[in-house]
Amino acid sequence: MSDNDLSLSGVHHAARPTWKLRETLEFYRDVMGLKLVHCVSARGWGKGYHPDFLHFFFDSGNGSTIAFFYYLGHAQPDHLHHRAEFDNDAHHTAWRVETKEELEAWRERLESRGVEIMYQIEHEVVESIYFRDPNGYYLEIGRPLREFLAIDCSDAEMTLEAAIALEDEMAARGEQLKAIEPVWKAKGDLVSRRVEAEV
Amino acid sequence: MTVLIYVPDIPEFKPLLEGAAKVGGCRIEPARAGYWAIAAEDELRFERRALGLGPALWNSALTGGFRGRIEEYGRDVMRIVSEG
Repeated sequence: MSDNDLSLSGVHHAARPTWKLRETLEFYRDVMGLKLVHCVSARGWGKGYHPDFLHFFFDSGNGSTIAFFYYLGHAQPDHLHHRAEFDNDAHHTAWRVETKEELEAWRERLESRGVEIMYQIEHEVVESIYFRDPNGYYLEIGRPLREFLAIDCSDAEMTLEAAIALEDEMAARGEQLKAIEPVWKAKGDLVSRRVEAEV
Repeated sequence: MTVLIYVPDIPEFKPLLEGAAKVGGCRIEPARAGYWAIAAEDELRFERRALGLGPALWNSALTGGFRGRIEEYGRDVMRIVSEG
């Protein structure tokens, strides 16, 4: 197999630390209704300090799982406290459902079990509900509104090309890219060339 | 010099094109190379409510790129003028 043929076939597990063992089990298994499918319990091993731990997995569909590490006798370090702010919440898990009816049913299930649905938003390519787990981790369930198109791919390439080129130019002048407007302007030049080339 | 907003030819940006066509003061150029264009000679001025856009689309309305100079782009009014 050439390395050009390589692709991934989905998520096996996404893992995060938990600092609340009972609450995590009750939330994912009982509130969300995800099956607990595996648990490693082990003494800490390997080089350096590593506490004894539990590593457990919940089925999140299509062969994927969400997994947690719980470290025995290890206090939660300050830098791993999840803050309900945009940069912390950027790290989140978004599960997929297929239909509006399923999304509404998830909303009802969670709300009926006392989970606050923070938002329900129909944004670019997905309609989603957002909520938090016992650690405060940001969670999302969404239904895709459409598949990604060829134009999405080429547009994404141009957006990032414009942003990276601008960052490099500004860094050379000792400046920092702090707003999106110059990116849009630089991208306008890239799109303009592409449009003119097609004529 | 023409003021211009490129709009990717993807479904969620249709309301931007439809809104611009409805409020007028601009011309809509059909998609080429995957981008529609909303254009005017001297100035493009839009109000979010008149376009019927929610905040998400309003705040990413220029994601396809633009030509001109942004004079104003607040919560409700966008004004892009010619660079001369």
